[in-house]
Formats: sequence, structure tokens, C-alpha cells
Amino acid sequence: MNSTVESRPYEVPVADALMSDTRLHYMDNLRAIAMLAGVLFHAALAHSVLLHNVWLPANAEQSQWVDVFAWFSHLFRMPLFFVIAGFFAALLVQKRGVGRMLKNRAVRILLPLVIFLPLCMWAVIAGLFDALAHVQNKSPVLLMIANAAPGTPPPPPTTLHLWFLYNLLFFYLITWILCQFQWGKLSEFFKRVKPWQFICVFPLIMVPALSSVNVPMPAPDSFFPQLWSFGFFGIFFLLGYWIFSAENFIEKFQPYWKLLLVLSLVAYGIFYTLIPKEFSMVPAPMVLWKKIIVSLCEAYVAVWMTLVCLTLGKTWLNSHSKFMRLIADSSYWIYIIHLPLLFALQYQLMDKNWSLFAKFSVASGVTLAIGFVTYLLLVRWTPIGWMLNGRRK
Amino acid sequence: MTLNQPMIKKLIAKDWHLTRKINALYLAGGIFALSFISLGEWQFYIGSVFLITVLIGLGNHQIAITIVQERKEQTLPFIMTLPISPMDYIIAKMIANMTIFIVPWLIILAGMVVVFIATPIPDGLLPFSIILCLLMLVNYCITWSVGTALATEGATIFVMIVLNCLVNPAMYLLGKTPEIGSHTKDAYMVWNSTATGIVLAEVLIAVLALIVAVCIQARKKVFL
Repeated sequence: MNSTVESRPYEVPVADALMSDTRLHYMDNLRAIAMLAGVLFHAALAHSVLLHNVWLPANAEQSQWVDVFAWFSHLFRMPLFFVIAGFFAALLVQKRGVGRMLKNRAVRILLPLVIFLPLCMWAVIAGLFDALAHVQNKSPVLLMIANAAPGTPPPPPTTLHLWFLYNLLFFYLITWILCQFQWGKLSEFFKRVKPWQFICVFPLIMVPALSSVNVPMPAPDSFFPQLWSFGFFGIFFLLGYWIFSAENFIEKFQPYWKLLLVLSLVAYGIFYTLIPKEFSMVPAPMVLWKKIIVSLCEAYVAVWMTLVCLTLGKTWLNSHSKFMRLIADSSYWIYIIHLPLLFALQYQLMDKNWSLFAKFSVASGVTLAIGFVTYLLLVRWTPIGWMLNGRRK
Repeated sequence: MTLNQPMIKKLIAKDWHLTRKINALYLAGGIFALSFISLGEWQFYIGSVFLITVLIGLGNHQIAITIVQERKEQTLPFIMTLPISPMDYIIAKMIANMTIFIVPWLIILAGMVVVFIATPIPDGLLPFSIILCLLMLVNYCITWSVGTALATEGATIFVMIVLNCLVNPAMYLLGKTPEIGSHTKDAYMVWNSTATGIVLAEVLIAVLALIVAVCIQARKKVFL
């Protein structure tokens, strides 16, 4: 998951940077931030009013503000991640060819998924059974499981929080498929698109996919590939792939980032007003006009905020820093192991009479700390580190 | 008999390269079918049929490209100029075609088993489904054998059509066989002697078809 291309002045197309064997710091740093923000997002969901009835470690301390912040980040965090993944896929294809890209991704993505998914699954289930036995103030889902009649069929298996790895595998396969054909004319067409046209029209491509799922968009964590994920996250992956070869794509949006941020906040305000204020296991159907408006808002916030993050990232995060490099290297490992750890901690905190802020800080802080320390002790210089980030030079 | 391994490897790579575009399209079709399956009940049936169609299409299409067209478009004379024997040629064809077909076939088979075990779909349907999946493999192996042994477009297409027409009667007969059809709604799969016997027979027929084709080719001293 490492880039090997140096940061370049804005005037230079990114693909040209391939000639030098150095790094693109802003992409590495943005990816690390997207991953670590995921840890905070999952930590926050325990205090979400919206998810109180459906989240395993849902806590008694809840706040609407948690939802306001958490769901805003949810709309663009993973889209940004998939743009970056597509960008690096294009880098690998340009540098090594599509076959070697697949081999590289098999080691960095498939192997960690095969190794860590069963372990995470086991850890989440073990934590769940422990919580069922010991937690006094159980969440609604824990209570439901505790009171379930014997013989109730278990829920279908999921890819948990590692769904992004599973989805990426399909996106890499599609990259291989698309690489078999010529896309010159389409690429030329996209190169002529003006920034304001892109800002207005591009998000509309994702509306059909978003309209086909619940709001806010769920995680496509089924073992069956989810069609809507291709129409949403897949499009962001393709966008990242295309940004790699497009000249000064990110710079073109530099003058618009403030406007895009304001528009995103307005769209998010509409989105938040229209979504249900509480979720249940079987989501209630939404009126069609509401559904379309909510999907439009989701799509526009996702695209606009991704552009904001890319422009700000290129401006502020595009320099070498040993600290950020360490964070970037450790983020993949921390993200992989965070969910069982976080759940286990949050189960313990359910019976504590602490404030929301204290519980959130302890759960997320301890999870990040354990993730970081285990990275330094067990991963960075070991074969696990080579698998996740490549061999250190 | 010694095989010319470097040339066999090159011939396999050549077939993979020539079929890469259709393989890519069928892979895209397979991913779409898998994604469609998860959308709901009727989508499950349409997606399953589409998935099987993709598998049959992939098998037939690559046989048409790598075996039938090789003679039709006069590329075989070029192969004949290479330092290879008819045996090298058939081994290369077998490995190239079988890998292209069997890898997606195995993925679908494994995925199907996981879906049956992990979802509320009755596991009793599993022997019936595995027998059907194996039937696809048998059909492919027979078509491949006819294609390589006879190398005529007409005969190969005829065999493809006949075998595909037999899939539905096979499903009907399986459903009517009490030892298999009566267990399809059971919560647990029942592997009785009939089901095991059919699976063994299918594997045997597939292997036999390949051996026959290889033997016919091995007896040849020259390509034509």
C-alpha cells in the first residue's frame, strides 16, 4: 500500500512523476487519515442515536451531535479512500503492467483479507459472547441476541470492516478487464470536461446506486459482491484511476474548495434533515421523492468533499514528515485490527458511569494506542509488515 | 516420449493472450451475475441462470477460438512450423483451455457451497447443485475432446448444442430421482450412494473424454 512517487510541483502531470522513484506524500497521508478516521467513526457509532437499536456496542450515553459529525465523515471517507486506491492501482499499472499490479494486490490486499478476516471474525464473536455473559447494561442488539430463541439461524456471514479489501479485489479485477480494451476516446472526452461541469454532473452517475440502498449508505459487507458498490465506490475507484493520468486534475479544483465545502455542508444539512431519526433492524421504506433527494445529497457530498480533501491534502499534506510517514505506514494495520479491539473495550465501558466524551476518548484512544504499539513491536519489521506495506528499504 | 516444455508454455501463453478479451468480458458477466444474485429472490434465480450461462458461454467460446478457428483461419500451418509434436500441441491446448474454464468453474462451485451452507437455503439442495455443476464440467470436457479430435466447426457446434439441450432433461431426471429429488428441501445434505455414484460417474466421464482426445492426438505422427 505504499506509493513510490515523489511529490511534484502542480504543473507536472502525476504520471510523469513515475520517472522518479520517490513518494506522493499527500496521497499516503490522505489515505492514512481516511483509515484512522474510520476508527473514530466506528468508535462514535456506539454513541449514535440513529444506530442505537442496531449497533452491537451501542452505549447508554448518546448524542445527536455524534450523528451529525459521524455521518458527515461517513459520506466521503470511504469514497476518498477508493479514489486513492484507484490512483495507486493506475500507478502500479503504469509502472509494472496490469499482471504485476494484480500480483502485487494479491499480496497486499487478498492475503491480509484471507489471514485477518477469520481472526477478526473470531475475535468479534468471542467478544460478543463475553459481553452477553458479563455486561449488565446491554445494548438493544445484545439484548435481542441474549433473548433469541434456541435454534434461531445465525446472521449471514459478513466481511466485517474488511469489506473494503473484499470490494477492492473486485475493482482490481475490473481494472484488468478494462485494461484489455481501448478507452482513448472516452479518456479524451473526460479531459475536455471543465471543473464546473464535473462538479455538477459527475455525482449524478452515483444516484442510481445510492437510491437502491438504505440511507445512510450501508457497508457492502456481504460475501456476494454488491451491485450498488460498483456503482458508487467503483466509480470513485475509476475516478482515482483516471486522476492519475489526467493533467493537473486536482489543481483545477483548487479555486473551488471553499465553495464546495459550503455546498457540501448545505447538502448534508438537507440530507440529515430528511433521513430517519432512528434505525431498526428492518429499515422502514422511504417516500420516493425523499429517497431521491437524499441520494442526490449523498452523491454530491461524497464527490464534493472528496475533491475538497484532495485539494487540501495536496496543499497541506504534500511534504515529507517522519511522523506522518510512520502514521501512514501503521494506519493499514491499525484499521485491520481495530474493530474487535474497539468492540471489546466498548463492551467493558457499557457498565461504567462515565460521560460520553470520556467513554469515546478512552475507547478510541486505547484502540489507536494498542494498534500503534503492536505495529511497532509486531508488524513494522516483520513479515506482516512486509505483507501490508512492502519490505522496508 | 519427451515433451517440449518451453514451447508448451509459450503455446499456453499464446492461447491465454488470444482469449484475454473474451475472458475479460465473461469475467465481467460473472461478477455482474454474482452481484445480481444478492438483490432479492427473483434476482437470485435470474442471477444463477446468468451465471451458468456465462460459464457455458465461456467454455464454448474459448473452444471455438482456440481450437476451431485455429484451423479455420489457417493459423495451424504456423503452429506446424514450430518444433513441437502433436502431443505437445494437445497438452498445451488442454492446459490452456482447462485453466481458463476450471478456475472460474471452481470459484463458482466454492461460492455456491458457501452460499448454501451460510444462508437459509436448504442444504439438501447441495448434492443436486453439485451434480449439475459437474455436468457443466463434463459437457465442457466432451465438447473440448470432440473439438480437438475432429477439429471441425460443424461437429463441435453440433455437440455443443446437443449437450446444452441435455442440461434441462438432466435437471428433470435428477429432480425425479427419489434418492436426490426427495432431499432437496431437507435442512441437511444427504450424500447417499446414488448421489455419490452420479458424481463419480461424472468425474470419470470428464477424465475419460480428456484421455480419449489426448490418445487420438498422441497417435498422430504429423498434424494433418
